[in-house]
Amino acid sequence: MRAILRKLFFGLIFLALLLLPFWGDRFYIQFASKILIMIVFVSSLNLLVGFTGLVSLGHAAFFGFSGYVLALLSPVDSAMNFFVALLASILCTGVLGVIFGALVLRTKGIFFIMSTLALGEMLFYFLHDTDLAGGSDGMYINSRPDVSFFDWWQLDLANVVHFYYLALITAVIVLIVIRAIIHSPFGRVLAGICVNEHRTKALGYNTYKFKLVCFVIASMIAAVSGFLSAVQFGVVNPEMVGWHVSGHALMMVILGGKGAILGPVIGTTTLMLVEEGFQMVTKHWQLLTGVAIVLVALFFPHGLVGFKFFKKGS
Amino acid sequence: MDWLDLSFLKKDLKVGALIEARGLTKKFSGLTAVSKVSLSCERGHIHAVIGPNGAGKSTLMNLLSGELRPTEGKIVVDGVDVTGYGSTKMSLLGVGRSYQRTNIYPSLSVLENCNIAVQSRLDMSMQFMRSVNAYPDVESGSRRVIERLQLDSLSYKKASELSHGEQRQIEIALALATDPKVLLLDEPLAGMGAEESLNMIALLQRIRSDFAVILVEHDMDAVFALADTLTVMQNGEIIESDKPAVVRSSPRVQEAYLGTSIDA
Repeated sequence: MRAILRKLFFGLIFLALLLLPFWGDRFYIQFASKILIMIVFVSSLNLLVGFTGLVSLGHAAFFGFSGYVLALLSPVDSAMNFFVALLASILCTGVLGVIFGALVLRTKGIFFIMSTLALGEMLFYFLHDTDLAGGSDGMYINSRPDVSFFDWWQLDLANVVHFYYLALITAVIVLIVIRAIIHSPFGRVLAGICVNEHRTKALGYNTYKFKLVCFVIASMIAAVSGFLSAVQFGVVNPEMVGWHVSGHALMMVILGGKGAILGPVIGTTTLMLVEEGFQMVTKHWQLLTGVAIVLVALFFPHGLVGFKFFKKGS
Repeated sequence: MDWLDLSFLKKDLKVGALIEARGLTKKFSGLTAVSKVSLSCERGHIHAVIGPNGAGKSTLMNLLSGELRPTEGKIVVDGVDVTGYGSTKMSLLGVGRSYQRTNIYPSLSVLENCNIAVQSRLDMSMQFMRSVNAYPDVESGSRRVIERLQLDSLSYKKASELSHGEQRQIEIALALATDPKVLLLDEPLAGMGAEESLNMIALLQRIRSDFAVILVEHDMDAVFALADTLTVMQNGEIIESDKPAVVRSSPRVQEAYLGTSIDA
Protein backbone atom coordinates (compact mmCIF):
# COMPACT_ATOMS: atom_id res chain seq x y z
CA MET A 1 0.00 0.00 0.00
CA ARG A 2 2.73 2.40 0.96
CA ALA A 3 4.63 1.53 -2.19
CA ILE A 4 1.65 2.58 -4.29
CA LEU A 5 1.18 5.77 -2.30
CA ARG A 6 4.85 6.48 -2.70
CA LYS A 7 4.72 6.06 -6.47
CA LEU A 8 1.61 8.20 -6.60
CA PHE A 9 3.28 10.84 -4.48
CA PHE A 10 6.39 11.05 -6.63
CA GLY A 11 4.29 10.88 -9.79
CA LEU A 12 2.25 13.84 -8.62
CA ILE A 13 5.34 15.78 -7.70
CA PHE A 14 6.84 15.19 -11.10
CA LEU A 15 3.60 16.23 -12.76
CA ALA A 16 3.52 19.35 -10.63
CA LEU A 17 7.11 20.09 -11.66
CA LEU A 18 6.18 19.70 -15.32
CA LEU A 19 3.20 22.00 -14.96
CA LEU A 20 4.84 24.53 -12.65
CA PRO A 21 5.53 27.13 -15.36
CA PHE A 22 1.83 27.32 -16.18
CA TRP A 23 0.76 28.68 -12.84
CA GLY A 24 3.86 29.84 -11.03
CA ASP A 25 5.04 33.39 -11.48
CA ARG A 26 8.44 34.32 -12.80
CA PHE A 27 10.12 34.48 -9.43
CA TYR A 28 9.01 31.03 -8.39
CA ILE A 29 9.97 29.45 -11.68
CA GLN A 30 13.42 30.95 -11.33
CA PHE A 31 13.62 29.77 -7.75
CA ALA A 32 12.58 26.26 -8.79
CA SER A 33 15.33 26.25 -11.43
CA LYS A 34 17.80 27.28 -8.75
CA ILE A 35 16.68 24.37 -6.58
CA LEU A 36 17.01 21.93 -9.48
CA ILE A 37 20.54 23.13 -10.24
CA MET A 38 21.43 22.81 -6.58
CA ILE A 39 20.01 19.27 -6.53
CA VAL A 40 22.45 18.36 -9.29
CA PHE A 41 25.33 19.86 -7.34
CA VAL A 42 24.37 18.30 -4.01
CA SER A 43 23.84 14.91 -5.68
CA SER A 44 27.36 15.04 -7.06
CA LEU A 45 28.66 15.77 -3.57
CA ASN A 46 26.57 12.92 -2.19
CA LEU A 47 28.39 10.58 -4.57
CA LEU A 48 31.53 11.39 -2.59
CA VAL A 49 30.13 11.86 0.91
CA GLY A 50 27.32 9.34 0.97
CA PHE A 51 28.43 6.61 -1.38
CA THR A 52 32.20 6.64 -1.02
CA GLY A 53 32.68 8.09 2.45
CA LEU A 54 34.77 11.05 1.26
CA VAL A 55 33.65 14.20 3.08
CA SER A 56 34.74 17.09 0.89
CA LEU A 57 34.61 20.74 1.91
CA GLY A 58 35.97 21.93 -1.41
CA HIS A 59 33.42 20.63 -3.84
CA ALA A 60 32.28 24.13 -4.81
CA ALA A 61 35.65 24.54 -6.55
CA PHE A 62 34.26 22.45 -9.41
CA PHE A 63 30.89 24.20 -9.35
CA GLY A 64 32.48 27.60 -9.71
CA PHE A 65 35.35 26.59 -11.97
CA SER A 66 32.91 25.23 -14.51
CA GLY A 67 31.08 28.53 -14.56
CA TYR A 68 34.37 30.35 -15.06
CA VAL A 69 35.26 28.10 -17.97
CA LEU A 70 32.02 29.12 -19.63
CA ALA A 71 32.59 32.80 -18.87
CA LEU A 72 36.14 32.73 -20.19
CA LEU A 73 35.21 30.82 -23.33
CA SER A 74 32.15 32.86 -24.22
CA PRO A 75 32.87 35.44 -26.88
CA VAL A 76 31.79 38.97 -25.97
CA ASP A 77 29.48 39.60 -28.86
CA SER A 78 28.16 36.27 -30.05
CA ALA A 79 26.62 33.19 -28.49
CA MET A 80 28.49 29.94 -28.15
CA ASN A 81 27.00 26.62 -29.05
CA PHE A 82 25.46 25.27 -25.85
CA PHE A 83 26.68 21.69 -26.24
CA VAL A 84 30.22 22.69 -27.12
CA ALA A 85 30.33 25.03 -24.14
CA LEU A 86 28.87 22.42 -21.78
CA LEU A 87 31.29 19.76 -22.96
CA ALA A 88 34.22 22.15 -22.61
CA SER A 89 33.17 23.09 -19.07
CA ILE A 90 32.75 19.45 -18.05
CA LEU A 91 36.07 18.39 -19.53
CA CYS A 92 38.09 21.29 -18.11
CA THR A 93 36.53 20.74 -14.69
CA GLY A 94 37.26 17.02 -15.04
CA VAL A 95 40.93 17.86 -15.55
CA LEU A 96 40.84 20.03 -12.42
CA GLY A 97 39.13 17.08 -10.69
CA VAL A 98 42.01 14.78 -11.65
CA ILE A 99 44.58 17.25 -10.31
CA PHE A 100 42.75 18.02 -7.06
CA GLY A 101 41.70 14.40 -6.57
CA ALA A 102 45.17 13.01 -7.13
CA LEU A 103 46.42 15.29 -4.37
CA VAL A 104 43.68 15.16 -1.75
CA LEU A 105 43.03 11.41 -2.02
CA ARG A 106 46.48 10.77 -0.63
CA THR A 107 45.02 11.82 2.71
CA LYS A 108 42.27 10.35 4.85
CA GLY A 109 39.63 11.43 7.33
CA ILE A 110 40.05 14.88 8.83
CA PHE A 111 43.13 15.49 6.67
CA PHE A 112 41.07 14.84 3.60
CA ILE A 113 38.49 17.39 4.72
CA MET A 114 41.17 19.95 5.43
CA SER A 115 43.02 19.47 2.15
CA THR A 116 39.83 19.71 0.08
CA LEU A 117 39.06 22.90 1.97
CA ALA A 118 42.57 24.21 1.34
CA LEU A 119 42.52 23.55 -2.40
CA GLY A 120 39.06 25.06 -2.74
CA GLU A 121 40.15 28.20 -0.93
CA MET A 122 43.31 28.39 -3.02
CA LEU A 123 41.16 28.50 -6.12
CA PHE A 124 38.93 31.09 -4.47
CA TYR A 125 41.82 33.43 -3.73
CA PHE A 126 43.36 32.80 -7.10
CA LEU A 127 40.16 33.97 -8.79
CA HIS A 128 39.59 36.71 -6.24
CA ASP A 129 43.03 38.29 -6.28
CA THR A 130 44.13 38.01 -9.89
CA ASP A 131 42.81 39.89 -12.87
CA LEU A 132 42.62 36.79 -14.96
CA ALA A 133 38.85 36.47 -14.61
CA GLY A 134 37.54 39.76 -13.31
CA GLY A 135 38.97 39.50 -9.80
CA SER A 136 36.58 39.92 -6.93
CA ASP A 137 33.79 41.21 -9.19
CA GLY A 138 33.71 38.12 -11.31
CA MET A 139 32.71 38.07 -14.95
CA TYR A 140 29.58 38.59 -16.97
CA ILE A 141 28.45 36.19 -19.64
CA ASN A 142 27.11 38.63 -22.16
CA SER A 143 25.43 36.26 -24.52
CA ARG A 144 24.08 33.01 -23.18
CA PRO A 145 24.97 29.85 -25.10
CA ASP A 146 22.74 29.02 -27.95
CA VAL A 147 20.73 25.79 -27.70
CA SER A 148 19.61 25.00 -31.18
CA PHE A 149 19.28 21.70 -32.93
CA PHE A 150 20.37 22.86 -36.37
CA ASP A 151 17.56 25.11 -37.50
CA TRP A 152 14.38 23.41 -36.52
CA TRP A 153 14.29 23.80 -32.76
CA GLN A 154 15.66 26.30 -30.35
CA LEU A 155 15.64 26.96 -26.63
CA ASP A 156 15.95 30.50 -25.39
CA LEU A 157 18.00 30.32 -22.19
CA ALA A 158 17.09 33.86 -21.20
CA ASN A 159 13.49 32.72 -21.14
CA VAL A 160 12.69 31.64 -17.59
CA VAL A 161 10.35 28.84 -18.63
CA HIS A 162 12.72 27.41 -21.22
CA PHE A 163 15.55 27.47 -18.73
CA TYR A 164 13.38 25.80 -16.13
CA TYR A 165 12.71 22.84 -18.39
CA LEU A 166 16.38 22.55 -19.23
CA ALA A 167 17.21 22.44 -15.51
CA LEU A 168 14.47 19.88 -14.88
CA ILE A 169 15.64 17.56 -17.66
CA THR A 170 19.24 17.91 -16.53
CA ALA A 171 18.37 17.08 -12.92
CA VAL A 172 16.41 14.00 -13.98
CA ILE A 173 19.23 12.79 -16.24
CA VAL A 174 21.84 13.34 -13.53
CA LEU A 175 19.79 11.42 -10.96
CA ILE A 176 19.39 8.55 -13.41
CA VAL A 177 23.14 8.55 -14.12
CA ILE A 178 23.98 8.55 -10.41
CA ARG A 179 21.53 5.73 -9.83
CA ALA A 180 23.21 3.74 -12.59
CA ILE A 181 26.65 4.34 -11.07
CA ILE A 182 25.51 3.19 -7.64
CA HIS A 183 24.05 -0.02 -9.02
CA SER A 184 27.05 -0.83 -11.22
CA PRO A 185 30.05 -3.02 -10.37
CA PHE A 186 31.98 0.22 -9.87
CA GLY A 187 29.36 1.41 -7.38
CA ARG A 188 29.73 -1.86 -5.51
CA VAL A 189 33.41 -1.17 -4.99
CA LEU A 190 32.56 2.37 -3.85
CA ALA A 191 30.17 0.88 -1.30
CA GLY A 192 32.99 -1.38 -0.14
CA ILE A 193 35.33 1.59 0.24
CA CYS A 194 32.63 3.55 2.06
CA VAL A 195 31.95 0.82 4.61
CA ASN A 196 35.46 -0.60 5.07
CA GLU A 197 38.28 0.68 2.92
CA HIS A 198 40.94 -1.36 4.67
CA ARG A 199 39.22 -4.62 3.80
CA THR A 200 38.47 -3.49 0.27
CA LYS A 201 42.17 -2.86 -0.26
CA ALA A 202 43.04 -6.26 1.16
CA LEU A 203 40.56 -7.88 -1.21
CA GLY A 204 42.68 -6.71 -4.13
CA TYR A 205 41.19 -3.36 -5.06
CA ASN A 206 43.42 -0.40 -5.75
CA THR A 207 41.11 1.86 -3.75
CA TYR A 208 43.02 5.01 -4.67
CA LYS A 209 42.18 4.47 -8.32
CA PHE A 210 38.50 3.90 -7.58
CA LYS A 211 38.28 6.94 -5.34
CA LEU A 212 40.00 9.06 -7.97
CA VAL A 213 37.60 7.99 -10.72
CA CYS A 214 34.68 8.68 -8.39
CA PHE A 215 36.13 12.07 -7.48
CA VAL A 216 36.48 13.01 -11.13
CA ILE A 217 32.95 11.85 -11.97
CA ALA A 218 31.63 13.89 -9.05
CA SER A 219 33.58 16.94 -10.19
CA MET A 220 32.19 16.59 -13.71
CA ILE A 221 28.61 16.36 -12.45
CA ALA A 222 29.28 19.41 -10.28
CA ALA A 223 30.50 21.07 -13.46
CA VAL A 224 27.09 20.54 -15.04
CA SER A 225 25.42 22.34 -12.16
CA GLY A 226 27.96 25.16 -12.12
CA PHE A 227 27.55 25.61 -15.84
CA LEU A 228 23.76 25.87 -15.54
CA SER A 229 24.06 28.25 -12.62
CA ALA A 230 26.35 30.53 -14.62
CA VAL A 231 23.96 30.41 -17.54
CA GLN A 232 20.98 31.20 -15.32
CA PHE A 233 22.42 34.33 -13.77
CA GLY A 234 24.72 35.31 -16.60
CA VAL A 235 27.47 36.03 -14.15
CA VAL A 236 30.20 34.21 -12.23
CA ASN A 237 32.09 35.41 -9.19
CA PRO A 238 34.62 33.98 -6.74
CA GLU A 239 31.91 33.28 -4.15
CA MET A 240 30.84 30.36 -6.32
CA VAL A 241 34.00 28.42 -5.47
CA GLY A 242 34.15 29.45 -1.81
CA TRP A 243 33.75 27.05 1.05
CA HIS A 244 30.38 28.58 1.95
CA VAL A 245 28.86 26.94 -1.09
CA SER A 246 30.59 23.64 -0.26
CA GLY A 247 29.43 23.79 3.34
CA HIS A 248 25.90 24.66 2.34
CA ALA A 249 25.80 21.70 -0.02
CA LEU A 250 27.23 19.41 2.63
CA MET A 251 24.48 20.54 4.97
CA MET A 252 21.89 19.63 2.34
CA VAL A 253 23.44 16.17 1.90
CA ILE A 254 23.30 15.51 5.62
CA LEU A 255 19.86 17.04 6.04
CA GLY A 256 18.40 14.90 3.27
CA GLY A 257 20.27 11.76 4.18
CA LYS A 258 23.63 10.71 2.82
CA GLY A 259 23.97 7.52 0.88
CA ALA A 260 20.49 7.73 -0.62
CA ILE A 261 19.79 8.95 -4.11
CA LEU A 262 16.73 10.85 -2.93
CA GLY A 263 18.60 12.38 0.00
CA PRO A 264 20.01 15.38 -1.89
CA VAL A 265 16.68 15.96 -3.61
CA ILE A 266 14.79 16.14 -0.32
CA GLY A 267 17.59 17.90 1.57
CA THR A 268 18.15 20.58 -1.04
CA THR A 269 14.49 21.31 -1.60
CA THR A 270 13.73 21.45 2.10
CA LEU A 271 16.63 23.64 3.07
CA MET A 272 16.17 26.09 0.22
CA LEU A 273 12.44 26.38 0.84
CA VAL A 274 12.92 26.75 4.56
CA GLU A 275 15.58 29.42 4.11
CA GLU A 276 13.45 31.28 1.60
CA GLY A 277 10.41 31.05 3.88
CA PHE A 278 12.26 32.33 6.93
CA GLN A 279 13.80 35.15 4.91
CA MET A 280 10.33 36.38 4.12
CA VAL A 281 9.36 36.33 7.78
CA THR A 282 12.35 37.76 9.56
CA LYS A 283 15.77 39.31 9.18
CA HIS A 284 17.12 36.71 11.57
CA TRP A 285 16.26 33.83 9.30
CA GLN A 286 19.59 32.12 9.86
CA LEU A 287 18.71 31.61 13.51
CA LEU A 288 15.47 29.88 12.58
CA THR A 289 17.22 27.79 9.93
CA GLY A 290 19.72 26.70 12.55
CA VAL A 291 16.96 25.60 14.87
CA ALA A 292 15.25 23.70 12.06
CA ILE A 293 18.47 21.88 11.22
CA VAL A 294 19.08 20.95 14.83
CA LEU A 295 15.54 19.58 15.06
CA VAL A 296 16.00 17.46 11.95
CA ALA A 297 19.33 16.16 13.23
CA LEU A 298 17.63 15.30 16.51
CA PHE A 299 14.60 13.50 15.11
CA PHE A 300 16.02 12.17 11.83
CA PRO A 301 19.63 11.28 12.55
CA HIS A 302 19.90 9.62 9.15
CA GLY A 303 18.39 12.60 7.38
CA LEU A 304 14.92 13.24 6.09
CA VAL A 305 15.01 10.11 3.92
CA GLY A 306 14.80 8.32 7.26
CA PHE A 307 11.20 9.48 7.26
CA LYS A 308 9.35 6.23 6.70
CA PHE A 309 7.28 7.42 3.81
CA PHE A 310 10.34 7.78 1.58
CA LYS A 311 11.62 4.31 2.33
CA LYS A 312 11.26 1.47 -0.08
CA GLY A 313 9.72 -1.78 1.05
CA SER A 314 8.48 -2.32 4.56
CA MET B 1 67.99 -19.76 -21.75
CA ASP B 2 69.53 -23.24 -21.65
CA TRP B 3 73.00 -21.84 -21.28
CA LEU B 4 72.05 -20.30 -17.97
CA ASP B 5 71.96 -22.74 -15.12
CA LEU B 6 69.32 -21.57 -12.72
CA SER B 7 69.21 -24.67 -10.59
CA PHE B 8 71.14 -22.96 -7.79
CA LEU B 9 68.22 -20.62 -7.35
CA LYS B 10 65.83 -23.46 -6.76
CA LYS B 11 68.03 -25.30 -4.33
CA ASP B 12 66.68 -23.61 -1.24
CA LEU B 13 63.14 -23.30 -2.50
CA LYS B 14 61.12 -26.16 -1.13
CA VAL B 15 59.29 -28.08 -3.79
CA GLY B 16 55.66 -27.06 -3.93
CA ALA B 17 55.92 -24.36 -1.31
CA LEU B 18 53.20 -21.88 -2.17
CA ILE B 19 54.40 -19.32 0.29
CA GLU B 20 57.81 -18.98 1.76
CA ALA B 21 59.40 -16.42 4.06
CA ARG B 22 63.17 -16.17 4.21
CA GLY B 23 64.84 -14.32 7.03
CA LEU B 24 61.95 -11.94 7.52
CA THR B 25 62.76 -9.09 9.87
CA LYS B 26 60.61 -6.15 10.89
CA LYS B 27 61.93 -3.33 13.03
CA PHE B 28 59.74 -0.59 14.44
CA SER B 29 62.09 2.24 15.36
CA GLY B 30 64.38 0.25 17.57
CA LEU B 31 62.04 -2.57 18.50
CA THR B 32 62.53 -5.73 16.50
CA ALA B 33 59.06 -7.25 16.28
CA VAL B 34 60.03 -10.05 13.95
CA SER B 35 63.57 -11.29 13.63
CA LYS B 36 64.94 -13.54 10.89
CA VAL B 37 61.84 -15.66 10.54
CA SER B 38 61.83 -18.31 7.85
CA LEU B 39 58.93 -20.60 7.17
CA SER B 40 57.08 -22.14 4.29
CA CYS B 41 53.85 -23.88 3.51
CA GLU B 42 52.58 -26.02 0.66
CA ARG B 43 49.14 -26.81 -0.65
CA GLY B 44 46.99 -28.87 1.70
CA HIS B 45 49.19 -28.13 4.67
CA ILE B 46 48.46 -26.08 7.73
CA HIS B 47 51.42 -24.35 9.26
CA ALA B 48 50.47 -23.07 12.68
CA VAL B 49 52.36 -20.28 14.42
CA ILE B 50 51.99 -19.97 18.17
CA GLY B 51 53.67 -17.94 20.85
CA PRO B 52 52.90 -15.75 23.81
CA ASN B 53 51.43 -12.26 23.37
CA GLY B 54 53.94 -9.93 21.82
CA ALA B 55 55.85 -12.74 20.15
CA GLY B 56 55.40 -11.09 16.76
CA LYS B 57 52.77 -13.38 15.28
CA SER B 58 50.46 -10.63 14.08
CA THR B 59 53.36 -8.64 12.71
CA LEU B 60 54.44 -11.73 10.83
CA MET B 61 50.94 -12.08 9.37
CA ASN B 62 50.94 -8.42 8.36
CA LEU B 63 54.29 -8.92 6.65
CA LEU B 64 53.10 -12.00 4.78
CA SER B 65 49.90 -10.28 3.64
CA GLY B 66 51.73 -7.18 2.49
CA GLU B 67 50.21 -4.83 5.01
CA LEU B 68 53.66 -4.18 6.42
CA ARG B 69 56.91 -3.96 4.51
CA PRO B 70 59.71 -6.13 5.85
CA THR B 71 62.90 -4.40 6.97
CA GLU B 72 64.87 -7.37 5.73
CA GLY B 73 64.21 -10.72 4.19
CA LYS B 74 62.22 -12.11 1.34
CA ILE B 75 58.71 -13.36 0.68
CA VAL B 76 58.11 -15.76 -2.19
CA VAL B 77 54.62 -16.70 -3.31
CA ASP B 78 54.33 -19.56 -5.76
CA GLY B 79 57.86 -18.96 -7.03
CA VAL B 80 57.47 -15.20 -7.42
CA ASP B 81 59.47 -12.82 -5.25
CA VAL B 82 56.80 -10.54 -3.80
CA THR B 83 58.87 -8.74 -1.19
CA GLY B 84 57.60 -5.19 -0.76
CA TYR B 85 54.25 -5.78 -2.45
CA GLY B 86 51.26 -4.11 -0.78
CA SER B 87 48.16 -5.90 0.42
CA THR B 88 46.26 -5.21 -2.80
CA LYS B 89 48.90 -6.84 -4.99
CA MET B 90 49.33 -9.72 -2.56
CA SER B 91 45.62 -10.40 -2.70
CA LEU B 92 45.65 -10.39 -6.48
CA LEU B 93 48.57 -12.84 -6.44
CA GLY B 94 46.52 -15.30 -4.43
CA VAL B 95 47.21 -14.52 -0.79
CA GLY B 96 43.94 -14.28 1.10
CA ARG B 97 43.75 -13.39 4.75
CA SER B 98 41.41 -13.19 7.68
CA TYR B 99 41.85 -10.77 10.53
CA GLN B 100 42.11 -11.22 14.26
CA ARG B 101 39.61 -8.41 14.76
CA THR B 102 36.63 -9.04 12.54
CA ASN B 103 37.10 -6.93 9.43
CA ILE B 104 34.03 -7.26 7.25
CA TYR B 105 31.31 -4.96 5.83
CA PRO B 106 28.91 -4.71 8.78
CA SER B 107 26.19 -2.68 7.07
CA LEU B 108 25.98 -4.96 4.02
CA SER B 109 24.31 -8.34 3.63
CA VAL B 110 26.37 -11.52 3.70
CA LEU B 111 25.80 -11.96 -0.01
CA GLU B 112 26.89 -8.40 -0.78
CA ASN B 113 29.97 -8.90 1.44
CA CYS B 114 30.99 -11.86 -0.70
CA ASN B 115 30.04 -10.10 -3.94
CA ILE B 116 32.65 -7.42 -3.30
CA ALA B 117 35.27 -10.09 -2.73
CA VAL B 118 34.32 -12.20 -5.75
CA GLN B 119 34.15 -9.19 -8.05
CA SER B 120 37.78 -8.39 -7.29
CA ARG B 121 38.77 -11.41 -9.41
CA LEU B 122 36.62 -10.49 -12.39
CA ASP B 123 37.66 -7.76 -14.73
CA MET B 124 34.72 -5.37 -14.58
CA SER B 125 35.02 -3.24 -11.51
CA MET B 126 35.59 -0.08 -13.52
CA GLN B 127 32.31 -0.61 -15.36
CA PHE B 128 30.10 2.18 -14.04
CA MET B 129 27.17 2.42 -16.40
CA ARG B 130 25.88 -1.16 -16.49
CA SER B 131 23.89 -2.71 -13.70
CA VAL B 132 25.44 -5.37 -11.48
CA ASN B 133 22.64 -7.60 -12.73
CA ALA B 134 24.42 -7.78 -16.07
CA TYR B 135 27.14 -9.80 -14.36
CA PRO B 136 25.56 -12.89 -12.78
CA ASP B 137 28.99 -14.52 -12.37
CA VAL B 138 29.65 -12.46 -9.29
CA GLU B 139 26.61 -13.57 -7.39
CA SER B 140 26.93 -17.20 -8.43
CA GLY B 141 30.54 -17.11 -7.21
CA SER B 142 29.38 -15.72 -3.89
CA ARG B 143 26.72 -18.37 -3.57
CA ARG B 144 29.31 -21.10 -4.11
CA VAL B 145 31.43 -19.74 -1.28
CA ILE B 146 28.42 -19.29 0.99
CA GLU B 147 27.30 -22.84 0.26
CA ARG B 148 30.75 -24.19 0.92
CA LEU B 149 30.75 -22.61 4.35
CA GLN B 150 27.13 -23.68 4.89
CA LEU B 151 25.98 -20.13 5.48
CA ASP B 152 23.07 -20.27 3.00
CA SER B 153 20.48 -19.35 5.57
CA LEU B 154 22.31 -16.09 6.33
CA SER B 155 22.72 -14.82 2.75
CA TYR B 156 20.35 -11.90 3.06
CA LYS B 157 21.11 -10.99 6.65
CA LYS B 158 23.07 -7.88 7.45
CA ALA B 159 26.53 -8.84 8.68
CA SER B 160 26.18 -6.61 11.73
CA GLU B 161 23.12 -8.59 12.83
CA LEU B 162 25.01 -11.89 12.94
CA SER B 163 26.47 -13.52 16.03
CA HIS B 164 30.18 -13.17 16.66
CA GLY B 165 30.82 -16.73 15.52
CA GLU B 166 28.92 -16.17 12.31
CA GLN B 167 30.81 -12.94 11.65
CA ARG B 168 34.06 -14.87 12.06
CA GLN B 169 32.85 -17.23 9.36
CA ILE B 170 32.07 -14.29 7.06
CA GLU B 171 35.63 -13.19 7.73
CA ILE B 172 36.81 -16.53 6.31
CA ALA B 173 34.24 -16.36 3.51
CA LEU B 174 35.65 -13.03 2.32
CA ALA B 175 39.12 -14.52 2.13
CA LEU B 176 37.87 -17.63 0.31
CA ALA B 177 35.80 -15.59 -2.12
CA THR B 178 38.97 -14.14 -3.62
CA ASP B 179 39.93 -17.66 -4.68
CA PRO B 180 43.34 -17.64 -2.97
CA LYS B 181 46.18 -20.14 -3.11
CA VAL B 182 47.47 -19.17 0.28
CA LEU B 183 45.27 -18.51 3.30
CA LEU B 184 46.59 -16.49 6.21
CA LEU B 185 44.31 -16.98 9.19
CA ASP B 186 44.93 -14.67 12.10
CA GLU B 187 43.26 -16.19 15.15
CA PRO B 188 40.12 -17.44 13.43
CA LEU B 189 38.82 -18.68 16.78
CA ALA B 190 39.28 -15.39 18.62
CA GLY B 191 36.43 -14.75 21.02
CA MET B 192 34.52 -17.90 20.10
CA GLY B 193 32.63 -20.19 22.43
CA ALA B 194 33.39 -23.91 22.65
CA GLU B 195 30.75 -24.98 20.17
CA GLU B 196 31.53 -22.21 17.70
CA SER B 197 35.20 -23.21 17.89
CA LEU B 198 34.40 -26.81 17.04
CA ASN B 199 32.36 -25.65 14.06
CA MET B 200 35.18 -23.47 12.85
CA ILE B 201 37.73 -26.28 13.24
CA ALA B 202 35.43 -28.58 11.27
CA LEU B 203 35.10 -25.91 8.62
CA LEU B 204 38.86 -25.52 8.31
CA GLN B 205 39.26 -29.30 8.08
CA ARG B 206 36.74 -29.35 5.23
CA ILE B 207 38.47 -26.72 3.13
CA ARG B 208 42.12 -27.21 4.01
CA SER B 209 43.07 -29.43 1.09
CA ASP B 210 42.84 -26.59 -1.45
CA PHE B 211 45.13 -24.09 0.22
CA ALA B 212 48.44 -23.54 1.87
CA VAL B 213 47.29 -22.31 5.27
CA ILE B 214 49.30 -20.30 7.74
CA LEU B 215 47.42 -20.20 11.00
CA VAL B 216 48.03 -18.05 14.04
CA GLU B 217 45.98 -19.29 16.95
CA HIS B 218 45.91 -19.32 20.73
CA ASP B 219 43.54 -22.25 21.08
CA MET B 220 45.87 -25.22 21.57
CA ASP B 221 43.19 -27.82 20.92
CA ALA B 222 42.60 -26.28 17.53
CA VAL B 223 46.29 -26.00 16.77
CA PHE B 224 46.99 -29.64 17.55
CA ALA B 225 43.88 -30.75 15.69
CA LEU B 226 44.79 -28.86 12.56
CA ALA B 227 48.50 -28.21 12.22
CA ASP B 228 50.92 -30.25 10.11
CA THR B 229 53.80 -28.07 11.15
CA LEU B 230 54.03 -26.02 14.28
CA THR B 231 56.26 -23.00 14.71
CA VAL B 232 56.75 -21.43 18.11
CA MET B 233 57.76 -17.79 18.31
CA GLN B 234 59.05 -15.80 21.20
CA ASN B 235 60.28 -12.19 21.18
CA GLY B 236 60.07 -12.13 17.43
CA GLU B 237 62.19 -15.19 16.89
CA ILE B 238 61.41 -18.76 16.02
CA ILE B 239 62.46 -20.99 18.89
CA GLU B 240 61.15 -24.24 17.47
CA SER B 241 59.58 -25.42 14.24
CA ASP B 242 58.66 -29.02 13.62
CA LYS B 243 55.83 -31.54 13.65
CA PRO B 244 53.38 -30.78 16.44
CA ALA B 245 54.25 -33.92 18.40
CA VAL B 246 57.94 -33.04 18.35
CA VAL B 247 57.32 -29.45 19.36
CA ARG B 248 55.04 -30.56 22.15
CA SER B 249 57.85 -32.50 23.78
CA SER B 250 60.54 -29.92 23.23
CA PRO B 251 61.78 -28.77 26.62
CA ARG B 252 62.69 -25.36 25.26
CA VAL B 253 59.16 -24.72 24.10
CA GLN B 254 57.64 -26.02 27.28
CA GLU B 255 59.79 -23.72 29.26
CA ALA B 256 59.20 -20.69 27.08
CA TYR B 257 55.56 -20.87 26.35
CA LEU B 258 53.53 -23.97 26.85
CA GLY B 259 54.56 -24.40 30.44
CA THR B 260 52.49 -26.92 32.28
CA SER B 261 49.28 -26.30 30.40
CA ILE B 262 50.09 -28.94 27.88
CA ASP B 263 50.39 -31.69 30.43
CA ALA B 264 47.32 -30.66 32.30
